[in-house]
Amino acid sequence: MLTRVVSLTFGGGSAIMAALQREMVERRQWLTHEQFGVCYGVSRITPGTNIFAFCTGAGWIFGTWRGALLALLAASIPCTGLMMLALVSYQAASGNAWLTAALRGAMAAAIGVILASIWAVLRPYLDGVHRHRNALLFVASGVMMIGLGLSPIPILVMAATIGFLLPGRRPA
Amino acid sequence: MNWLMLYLVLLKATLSTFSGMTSLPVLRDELVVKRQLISDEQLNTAIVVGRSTPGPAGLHVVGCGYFAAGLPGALAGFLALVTPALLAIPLMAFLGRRQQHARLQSALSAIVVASVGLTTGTAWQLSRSALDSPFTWLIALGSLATLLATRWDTVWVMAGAAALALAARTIS
Repeated sequence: MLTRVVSLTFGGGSAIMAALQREMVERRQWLTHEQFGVCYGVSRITPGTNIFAFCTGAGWIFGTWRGALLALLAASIPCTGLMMLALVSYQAASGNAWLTAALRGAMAAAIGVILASIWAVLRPYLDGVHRHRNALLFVASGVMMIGLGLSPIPILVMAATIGFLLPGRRPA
Repeated sequence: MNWLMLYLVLLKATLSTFSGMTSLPVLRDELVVKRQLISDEQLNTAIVVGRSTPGPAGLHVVGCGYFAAGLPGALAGFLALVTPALLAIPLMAFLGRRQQHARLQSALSAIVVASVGLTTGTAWQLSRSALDSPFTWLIALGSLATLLATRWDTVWVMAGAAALALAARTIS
Protein backbone atom coordinates (compact mmCIF):
# COMPACT_ATOMS: atom_id res chain seq x y z
CA MET A 1 0.00 0.00 0.00
CA LEU A 2 2.85 2.43 0.89
CA THR A 3 4.63 1.57 -2.37
CA ARG A 4 1.48 2.21 -4.39
CA VAL A 5 0.47 5.48 -2.71
CA VAL A 6 3.94 7.05 -2.41
CA SER A 7 5.23 5.92 -5.81
CA LEU A 8 2.15 6.57 -7.91
CA THR A 9 0.84 9.84 -6.46
CA PHE A 10 1.76 13.00 -8.33
CA GLY A 11 1.82 16.37 -6.60
CA GLY A 12 4.47 15.96 -3.90
CA GLY A 13 4.25 15.68 -0.11
CA SER A 14 0.86 17.27 0.57
CA ALA A 15 -0.94 15.15 -2.02
CA ILE A 16 0.77 11.96 -0.78
CA MET A 17 0.00 12.77 2.87
CA ALA A 18 -3.68 13.28 2.00
CA ALA A 19 -3.74 9.96 0.10
CA LEU A 20 -2.04 8.16 3.03
CA GLN A 21 -4.57 9.61 5.45
CA ARG A 22 -7.45 8.34 3.28
CA GLU A 23 -5.92 4.87 2.92
CA MET A 24 -4.48 4.26 6.40
CA VAL A 25 -7.07 5.95 8.61
CA GLU A 26 -10.38 6.17 6.75
CA ARG A 27 -10.35 3.22 4.34
CA ARG A 28 -8.22 0.50 5.98
CA GLN A 29 -8.29 1.81 9.59
CA TRP A 30 -4.69 0.68 10.15
CA LEU A 31 -4.02 3.83 12.18
CA THR A 32 -6.28 5.81 14.51
CA HIS A 33 -6.60 9.57 13.97
CA GLU A 34 -4.41 10.03 17.06
CA GLN A 35 -1.67 7.68 15.77
CA PHE A 36 -1.77 9.40 12.38
CA GLY A 37 -1.41 12.77 14.16
CA VAL A 38 1.65 11.57 16.10
CA CYS A 39 3.30 10.23 12.92
CA TYR A 40 2.49 13.48 11.12
CA GLY A 41 3.89 15.58 13.96
CA VAL A 42 7.07 13.51 14.12
CA SER A 43 7.47 13.73 10.33
CA ARG A 44 7.32 17.53 10.59
CA ILE A 45 10.15 17.67 13.12
CA THR A 46 12.33 15.07 11.36
CA PRO A 47 14.85 16.53 8.89
CA GLY A 48 14.66 15.46 5.26
CA THR A 49 11.66 14.31 3.25
CA ASN A 50 8.53 14.39 5.45
CA ILE A 51 6.80 11.49 3.66
CA PHE A 52 9.67 9.08 4.30
CA ALA A 53 9.77 10.08 7.97
CA PHE A 54 5.99 9.61 8.19
CA CYS A 55 6.19 6.10 6.67
CA THR A 56 9.06 5.20 9.03
CA GLY A 57 6.97 6.37 12.00
CA ALA A 58 3.89 4.44 10.83
CA GLY A 59 6.05 1.35 10.28
CA TRP A 60 7.35 1.74 13.85
CA ILE A 61 3.77 1.54 15.16
CA PHE A 62 3.15 -1.67 13.18
CA GLY A 63 6.36 -3.53 13.93
CA THR A 64 8.96 -1.44 15.81
CA TRP A 65 12.32 -1.10 14.02
CA ARG A 66 11.71 -3.88 11.50
CA GLY A 67 8.38 -2.37 10.50
CA ALA A 68 9.97 1.08 10.31
CA LEU A 69 12.78 -0.12 8.04
CA LEU A 70 10.42 -2.11 5.82
CA ALA A 71 8.03 0.83 5.49
CA LEU A 72 10.89 3.22 4.65
CA LEU A 73 12.25 0.92 1.93
CA ALA A 74 8.77 0.19 0.52
CA ALA A 75 8.06 3.89 0.29
CA SER A 76 11.42 5.05 -1.08
CA ILE A 77 12.82 2.44 -3.50
CA PRO A 78 10.06 2.30 -6.16
CA CYS A 79 9.65 6.08 -6.60
CA THR A 80 13.44 6.52 -6.71
CA GLY A 81 13.64 3.75 -9.34
CA LEU A 82 10.98 5.48 -11.46
CA MET A 83 12.83 8.78 -11.19
CA MET A 84 16.15 7.17 -12.16
CA LEU A 85 14.49 5.47 -15.14
CA ALA A 86 13.21 8.86 -16.31
CA LEU A 87 16.63 10.47 -15.76
CA VAL A 88 18.53 7.77 -17.67
CA SER A 89 15.98 7.93 -20.51
CA TYR A 90 16.48 11.67 -20.62
CA GLN A 91 20.26 11.24 -20.82
CA ALA A 92 19.96 8.63 -23.58
CA ALA A 93 17.93 11.08 -25.65
CA SER A 94 20.01 14.18 -24.83
CA GLY A 95 21.28 15.95 -27.93
CA ASN A 96 17.91 15.48 -29.59
CA ALA A 97 16.85 18.99 -30.66
CA TRP A 98 13.17 18.39 -29.93
CA LEU A 99 13.90 17.05 -26.46
CA THR A 100 16.22 19.99 -25.77
CA ALA A 101 13.46 22.41 -26.77
CA ALA A 102 10.88 20.62 -24.61
CA LEU A 103 13.26 20.52 -21.66
CA ARG A 104 13.99 24.23 -22.04
CA GLY A 105 10.27 24.89 -21.57
CA ALA A 106 10.06 22.47 -18.64
CA MET A 107 13.09 24.06 -16.95
CA ALA A 108 11.51 27.49 -17.20
CA ALA A 109 8.32 26.04 -15.71
CA ALA A 110 10.40 24.50 -12.89
CA ILE A 111 11.27 28.02 -11.69
CA GLY A 112 7.53 28.74 -11.47
CA VAL A 113 7.00 25.41 -9.68
CA ILE A 114 9.70 26.26 -7.10
CA LEU A 115 8.19 29.71 -6.50
CA ALA A 116 4.69 28.23 -6.08
CA SER A 117 6.09 25.66 -3.66
CA ILE A 118 7.82 28.46 -1.72
CA TRP A 119 4.53 30.34 -1.37
CA ALA A 120 2.62 27.19 -0.30
CA VAL A 121 5.14 26.51 2.49
CA LEU A 122 5.57 30.14 3.56
CA ARG A 123 1.94 31.30 3.62
CA PRO A 124 0.87 29.65 6.94
CA TYR A 125 3.91 31.17 8.66
CA LEU A 126 2.86 34.70 7.69
CA ASP A 127 -0.23 34.48 9.92
CA GLY A 128 -0.31 34.62 13.70
CA VAL A 129 1.69 36.40 16.39
CA HIS A 130 5.12 35.83 14.83
CA ARG A 131 4.29 36.88 11.27
CA HIS A 132 6.62 39.90 11.45
CA ARG A 133 9.50 37.81 12.81
CA ASN A 134 8.91 35.17 10.14
CA ALA A 135 8.70 37.73 7.32
CA LEU A 136 11.97 39.27 8.53
CA LEU A 137 13.64 35.84 8.77
CA PHE A 138 12.46 34.97 5.25
CA VAL A 139 13.85 38.16 3.70
CA ALA A 140 17.03 38.17 5.80
CA SER A 141 17.86 34.55 4.87
CA GLY A 142 17.60 35.24 1.15
CA VAL A 143 19.58 38.49 1.43
CA MET A 144 22.33 36.88 3.52
CA MET A 145 22.76 34.14 0.92
CA ILE A 146 22.51 36.26 -2.24
CA GLY A 147 23.84 39.58 -0.97
CA LEU A 148 26.46 38.51 1.58
CA GLY A 149 27.35 35.13 0.07
CA LEU A 150 26.87 33.23 3.36
CA SER A 151 26.42 29.47 3.05
CA PRO A 152 23.02 28.01 4.08
CA ILE A 153 24.03 26.10 7.24
CA PRO A 154 25.09 29.12 9.39
CA ILE A 155 21.93 30.92 8.28
CA LEU A 156 19.77 27.98 9.38
CA VAL A 157 21.61 27.74 12.72
CA MET A 158 21.03 31.45 13.28
CA ALA A 159 17.32 31.04 12.42
CA ALA A 160 16.96 28.09 14.82
CA THR A 161 18.61 30.12 17.61
CA ILE A 162 16.30 33.08 17.04
CA GLY A 163 13.29 30.74 16.96
CA PHE A 164 14.36 29.05 20.19
CA LEU A 165 14.91 32.37 21.98
CA LEU A 166 11.64 33.89 20.70
CA PRO A 167 9.13 31.05 21.11
CA GLY A 168 5.84 31.27 19.25
CA ARG A 169 3.12 28.98 18.03
CA ARG A 170 3.57 26.98 14.88
CA PRO A 171 0.69 27.02 12.37
CA ALA A 172 -1.45 23.89 12.24
CA MET B 1 35.12 12.51 -5.24
CA ASN B 2 34.44 9.07 -3.76
CA TRP B 3 30.87 8.04 -3.15
CA LEU B 4 31.18 8.10 0.64
CA MET B 5 32.23 11.76 0.56
CA LEU B 6 29.42 12.47 -1.91
CA TYR B 7 26.99 10.71 0.45
CA LEU B 8 28.12 12.96 3.33
CA VAL B 9 27.76 16.09 1.18
CA LEU B 10 24.25 15.08 0.07
CA LEU B 11 23.37 14.06 3.62
CA LYS B 12 24.35 17.55 4.77
CA ALA B 13 21.74 18.88 2.32
CA THR B 14 18.96 16.51 3.39
CA LEU B 15 19.68 16.81 7.12
CA SER B 16 19.51 20.60 7.05
CA THR B 17 16.00 20.77 5.55
CA PHE B 18 12.42 20.01 6.55
CA SER B 19 10.79 19.76 3.12
CA GLY B 20 11.86 18.54 -0.33
CA MET B 21 12.70 21.68 -2.27
CA THR B 22 14.49 23.40 0.61
CA SER B 23 17.55 21.19 0.12
CA LEU B 24 18.31 23.18 -3.05
CA PRO B 25 20.40 25.96 -1.44
CA VAL B 26 22.81 23.51 0.24
CA LEU B 27 22.93 21.29 -2.87
CA ARG B 28 23.79 24.21 -5.12
CA ASP B 29 26.28 25.65 -2.63
CA GLU B 30 28.11 22.31 -2.23
CA LEU B 31 27.85 20.71 -5.69
CA VAL B 32 27.72 23.68 -8.08
CA VAL B 33 29.56 26.53 -6.33
CA LYS B 34 32.17 24.96 -4.01
CA ARG B 35 33.00 21.61 -5.64
CA GLN B 36 31.82 22.23 -9.23
CA LEU B 37 30.69 18.60 -9.58
CA ILE B 38 27.51 19.50 -11.47
CA SER B 39 26.28 22.53 -13.41
CA ASP B 40 23.24 24.71 -12.78
CA GLU B 41 21.67 23.11 -15.85
CA GLN B 42 22.15 19.61 -14.41
CA LEU B 43 20.71 20.73 -11.07
CA ASN B 44 17.70 22.14 -12.92
CA THR B 45 17.35 18.93 -14.94
CA ALA B 46 17.36 16.89 -11.72
CA ILE B 47 14.56 19.13 -10.41
CA VAL B 48 12.54 18.84 -13.63
CA VAL B 49 12.81 15.03 -13.73
CA GLY B 50 12.21 14.74 -9.98
CA ARG B 51 9.04 16.82 -10.21
CA SER B 52 7.84 15.12 -13.40
CA THR B 53 7.72 11.67 -11.84
CA PRO B 54 5.43 10.59 -8.99
CA GLY B 55 6.66 10.60 -5.40
CA PRO B 56 7.84 13.17 -2.86
CA ALA B 57 9.51 16.44 -3.89
CA GLY B 58 13.01 15.63 -2.60
CA LEU B 59 13.95 13.04 -5.24
CA HIS B 60 16.17 15.52 -7.10
CA VAL B 61 18.89 14.67 -4.52
CA VAL B 62 19.26 11.26 -6.22
CA GLY B 63 19.50 12.97 -9.62
CA CYS B 64 22.20 15.31 -8.31
CA GLY B 65 24.18 12.30 -7.05
CA TYR B 66 23.76 10.65 -10.46
CA PHE B 67 25.03 13.70 -12.33
CA ALA B 68 27.97 14.03 -9.92
CA ALA B 69 29.17 10.39 -9.98
CA GLY B 70 26.95 8.14 -12.12
CA LEU B 71 25.12 5.18 -10.58
CA PRO B 72 27.27 5.04 -7.40
CA GLY B 73 26.43 8.72 -6.99
CA ALA B 74 22.72 7.94 -7.41
CA LEU B 75 23.04 5.27 -4.70
CA ALA B 76 24.77 7.82 -2.45
CA GLY B 77 21.90 10.22 -3.19
CA PHE B 78 19.31 7.58 -2.35
CA LEU B 79 21.01 6.76 0.96
CA ALA B 80 21.31 10.47 1.78
CA LEU B 81 17.60 10.84 0.98
CA VAL B 82 16.40 8.06 3.29
CA THR B 83 18.93 8.34 6.16
CA PRO B 84 17.27 11.32 7.90
CA ALA B 85 13.96 9.40 7.98
CA LEU B 86 15.58 6.92 10.38
CA LEU B 87 15.64 9.74 12.95
CA ALA B 88 11.85 9.30 13.09
CA ILE B 89 12.41 6.09 15.10
CA PRO B 90 13.94 7.71 18.21
CA LEU B 91 11.68 10.72 17.69
CA MET B 92 8.60 8.45 17.79
CA ALA B 93 9.84 7.07 21.10
CA PHE B 94 10.96 10.30 22.78
CA LEU B 95 9.79 13.44 21.00
CA GLY B 96 6.30 12.29 19.96
CA ARG B 97 4.96 13.44 23.32
CA ARG B 98 6.94 16.69 23.33
CA GLN B 99 5.93 17.99 19.91
CA GLN B 100 3.84 20.75 21.49
CA HIS B 101 6.90 22.22 23.27
CA ALA B 102 6.78 25.95 22.46
CA ARG B 103 10.51 26.62 22.05
CA LEU B 104 11.03 23.49 19.92
CA GLN B 105 8.11 24.44 17.66
CA SER B 106 9.34 28.01 17.38
CA ALA B 107 12.86 26.90 16.43
CA LEU B 108 11.44 24.53 13.81
CA SER B 109 9.16 27.16 12.31
CA ALA B 110 12.12 29.58 12.13
CA ILE B 111 14.17 26.92 10.31
CA VAL B 112 11.34 26.30 7.84
CA VAL B 113 10.93 30.04 7.14
CA ALA B 114 14.69 30.55 6.72
CA SER B 115 14.84 27.48 4.44
CA VAL B 116 12.14 29.03 2.27
CA GLY B 117 14.11 32.29 2.13
CA LEU B 118 17.20 30.36 1.04
CA THR B 119 15.17 28.45 -1.56
CA THR B 120 13.95 31.79 -2.96
CA GLY B 121 17.58 32.88 -3.30
CA THR B 122 18.42 29.62 -5.05
CA ALA B 123 15.46 30.02 -7.42
CA TRP B 124 16.86 33.44 -8.32
CA GLN B 125 20.28 31.93 -9.05
CA LEU B 126 18.79 29.07 -11.09
CA SER B 127 16.64 31.49 -13.07
CA ARG B 128 19.78 33.05 -14.56
CA SER B 129 20.47 29.89 -16.56
CA ALA B 130 16.88 28.71 -17.06
CA LEU B 131 15.28 32.04 -18.03
CA ASP B 132 17.32 33.29 -20.96
CA SER B 133 14.63 34.91 -23.12
CA PRO B 134 11.27 36.70 -22.82
CA PHE B 135 9.60 33.41 -23.86
CA THR B 136 11.09 31.42 -20.96
CA TRP B 137 10.23 34.25 -18.52
CA LEU B 138 6.66 34.08 -19.81
CA ILE B 139 6.55 30.31 -19.26
CA ALA B 140 7.93 30.65 -15.70
CA LEU B 141 5.45 33.38 -14.74
CA GLY B 142 2.59 31.56 -16.47
CA SER B 143 3.44 28.36 -14.58
CA LEU B 144 3.57 30.23 -11.27
CA ALA B 145 0.21 31.93 -11.94
CA THR B 146 -1.38 28.63 -13.01
CA LEU B 147 -0.19 26.79 -9.92
CA LEU B 148 -1.35 29.60 -7.60
CA ALA B 149 -4.75 29.96 -9.27
CA THR B 150 -5.67 26.33 -9.93
CA ARG B 151 -5.32 22.88 -8.38
CA TRP B 152 -3.53 21.47 -11.42
CA ASP B 153 -0.78 19.00 -10.74
CA THR B 154 2.77 20.24 -11.34
CA VAL B 155 3.41 17.47 -13.86
CA TRP B 156 0.67 18.87 -16.18
CA VAL B 157 2.03 22.39 -15.86
CA MET B 158 5.52 21.21 -16.81
CA ALA B 159 4.15 19.07 -19.63
CA GLY B 160 2.21 22.10 -20.89
CA ALA B 161 5.37 24.22 -20.76
CA ALA B 162 7.31 21.57 -22.69
CA ALA B 163 4.50 21.40 -25.30
CA LEU B 164 4.56 25.21 -25.63
CA ALA B 165 8.33 25.18 -26.15
CA LEU B 166 7.94 22.46 -28.80
CA ALA B 167 5.22 24.48 -30.53
CA ALA B 168 7.43 27.57 -30.49
CA ARG B 169 10.29 25.58 -32.04
CA THR B 170 7.98 24.25 -34.75
CA ILE B 171 6.74 27.74 -35.62
CA SER B 172 10.23 29.29 -35.67
